[in-house]
Amino acid sequence: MLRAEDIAVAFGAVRAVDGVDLVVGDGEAVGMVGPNGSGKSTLLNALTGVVRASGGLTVDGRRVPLSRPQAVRRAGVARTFQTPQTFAELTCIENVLLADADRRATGLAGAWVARGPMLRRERVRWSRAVAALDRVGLADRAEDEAGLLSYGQQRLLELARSLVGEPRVLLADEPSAGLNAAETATLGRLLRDLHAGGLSLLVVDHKIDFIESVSTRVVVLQLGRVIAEGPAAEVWRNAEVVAAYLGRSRAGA
Amino acid sequence: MPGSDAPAPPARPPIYRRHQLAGVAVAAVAVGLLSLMVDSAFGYGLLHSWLVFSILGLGFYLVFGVSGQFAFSQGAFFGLGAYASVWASDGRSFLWGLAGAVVVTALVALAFALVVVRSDHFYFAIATLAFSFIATVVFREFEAFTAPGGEIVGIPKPDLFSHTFDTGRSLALFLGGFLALALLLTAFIERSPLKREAIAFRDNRQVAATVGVPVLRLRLGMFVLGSTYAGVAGCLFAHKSGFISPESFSLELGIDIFLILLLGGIGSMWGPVLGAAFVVWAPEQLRFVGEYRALIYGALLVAVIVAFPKGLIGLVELVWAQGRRLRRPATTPSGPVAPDEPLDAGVTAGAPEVV
Amino acid sequence: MERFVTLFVTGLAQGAVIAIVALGFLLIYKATGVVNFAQGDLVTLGTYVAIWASADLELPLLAAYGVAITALFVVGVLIERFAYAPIRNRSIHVVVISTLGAALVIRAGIVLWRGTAPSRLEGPLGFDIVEVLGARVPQQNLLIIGVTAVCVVAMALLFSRTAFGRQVRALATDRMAAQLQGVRVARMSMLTFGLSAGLSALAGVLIAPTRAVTIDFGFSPMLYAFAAAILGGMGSIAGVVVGAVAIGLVQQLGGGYLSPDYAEIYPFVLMLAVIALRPQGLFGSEAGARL
Repeated sequence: MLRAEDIAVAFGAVRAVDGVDLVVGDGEAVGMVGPNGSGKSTLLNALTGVVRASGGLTVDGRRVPLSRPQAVRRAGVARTFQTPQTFAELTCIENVLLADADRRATGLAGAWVARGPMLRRERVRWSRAVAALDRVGLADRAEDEAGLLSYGQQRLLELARSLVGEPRVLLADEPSAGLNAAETATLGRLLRDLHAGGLSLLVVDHKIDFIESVSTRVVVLQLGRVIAEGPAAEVWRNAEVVAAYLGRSRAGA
Repeated sequence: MPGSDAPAPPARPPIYRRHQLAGVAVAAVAVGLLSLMVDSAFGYGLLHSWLVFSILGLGFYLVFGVSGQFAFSQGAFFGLGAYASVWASDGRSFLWGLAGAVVVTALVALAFALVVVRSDHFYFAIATLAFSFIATVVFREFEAFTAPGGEIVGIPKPDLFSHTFDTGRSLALFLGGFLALALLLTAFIERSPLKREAIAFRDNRQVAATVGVPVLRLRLGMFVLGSTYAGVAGCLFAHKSGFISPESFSLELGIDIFLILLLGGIGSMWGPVLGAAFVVWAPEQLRFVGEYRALIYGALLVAVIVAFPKGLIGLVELVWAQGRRLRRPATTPSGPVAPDEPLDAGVTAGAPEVV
Repeated sequence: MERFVTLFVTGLAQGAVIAIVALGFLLIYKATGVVNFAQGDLVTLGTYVAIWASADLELPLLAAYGVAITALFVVGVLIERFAYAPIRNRSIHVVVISTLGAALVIRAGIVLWRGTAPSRLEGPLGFDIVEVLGARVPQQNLLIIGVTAVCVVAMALLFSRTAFGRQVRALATDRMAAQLQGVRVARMSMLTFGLSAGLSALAGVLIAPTRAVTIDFGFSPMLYAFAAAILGGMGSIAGVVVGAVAIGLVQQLGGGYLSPDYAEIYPFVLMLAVIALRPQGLFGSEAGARL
């Protein structure tokens, strides 16, 4: 349901992403790996409008403009970042409320003139936000400022924030980075549960075990290009993939 | 684990539980009392200035405190509102002037914001500096809109429904009414999704956009809104002073407004009220040091800003927190009770204000 | 034709002085990322020191200039130590406010020291006129252009050929990496602030013969210098110099051929146009903000 065509990102003369085609099927869980500098994060940034990129994005059959982050989000594409990007001064629940899909009466009219409708919607948004926090196990920290959370909890908060907008697909950028074994296991369980519930996933990560535990198909990126794609076991045996990770001379031996 | 035995979160969203509205009511009463207590022309002068500069500062709170736009243009819009109100009222009633100030300021602010929409923080700041400079020159030279040399005298006191507010007391109540309204509207913003969206915008525009916050609309909207507050303040300034000139709206004012907000505390809607009080009152207290006044004033402001990053509000917070600690034993930190915050965000269980 | 030449040369001279202030400002910005809002008051202070050295100490003019530049170097270092270093790691807003505060203090200090009555400072060439292409041009303007040219070349060499310049460029590109490579950040900070203040003094004494010296003397040069830096794209010396010259020319030619009443604002209208249409400046390469 998510189709990215010929995505390219150039920083000056460097082509960080060099013509990538990617498909995430409805209800599919895709993993993405690649050595450092292969363009994985940049690709996610391109798809969510954070960097200037060329190419096409289609979600559920509809074209979505790459350059508009809000449009991408509205189309149902949610993402998390390599380092959790939560708003430290807002409380956890406020962080999550930001992402709610119902944006009516959130502006000045709602604040000054239509307070009744605005407050009614806020109540509903509130209960959705609480449910999202509960889903990731942060319901009891709802009123705490996000800055007070631990690193692992901030990751979960970011995840909750992604979920509340009822996304169709979640792009997760190295979600297990910085987490210990227990936290990684919890995260993996959570992602699998979400996938079982119908959420499509594109998970970028370095930990092979983790990727294998949350996805069925793996895409390998190197220097901005897809060099292999397929079930995990096949991909690790691919000579080019081995060479990309270990260096050419080793693979040739 | 998700869902199991975590304590239930509070039943009411946070915007139901803060006390900004009570604060507005208290402020309104305080202004009323002050208007009655003061009895000298000099005292009324200070009171009037405080009221006008509070509104000016509140606008800047919206532009810079809440949405993080580093702008030097607040003084220019203050002047623009003043001149626009005189030009629009032109012998007619005050309401024409007010309408003129609001419309002109809002339109110019929108136009300017659109011109610089592609600039980042630093260029934006310089652009607002340039705008202020341009404004000063335009006030001086564009005589059709302003007056020869930009000096206008004999501006009538405000009138409303055939009642003229020309005594110190009645003018104070009139201006106080405007401040109460400005505080109320700001409180409404604090008690709405706009506040959290603006903070998200301020802290990280790009991430806010990926989450769905309408960043362009916010950026323009907050800037226009805050600048319009300045325009209204300018209109009130013109009619309370009776006399305006381009010197009243120099670039120094734009910088002073920064200091008002930082001094009072940029994190709170009450910051500008406190900051304006200090800026209006302190120079009088420092009179005794004579010619060293400007130097001490400047150094004092810098020292306060550097040592008290939260401004005077930070001091109030400290005192409030001490008071709370004395009155209640320490409670466990986590759990569904928000940390103690003063005036604008205090939490009391079971206070179901719904507005 | 003569009118054009006069205006052109005056514009060039004005642009030249702005270029000097802009170079000083760019230096600090590249080395520390700070926008120094006290730059204008440093120009004023430098001029007043020169006036004091020349009038009260009765030093010859060039010596007075030297005193001013040296004194301002020291002032620049002091500002770095007291208004910047203690809060170096705080948010950019706090740092900017600190420079604003420093500006206030300097300004108040000047008023206390020299009062508010306007002063005068002559140039070394007096008010002699010279003929260029048939137009009458004050010699001071030619001197300004000449001095600036020397300055710009010196700065360019400083940036490209010396260890100091290398370190500044390293800091501008990536502070952390530069530190890890051994660049002494504190020392560089002090040097750049000092050098920048010295340049401001130079600019001040160059403009002084053409205007009355008041407390606001340095404010417009600073504003124009900001505009020049933005026009030129904040990246290179060449860009900034071109921006500064453009500003000087626009002001003079605009004032001469359009309305003189609004002469002061033409450069800013140009700046706003550039910000609107080409946010990275005429020569800059970074993309403008997308949000």
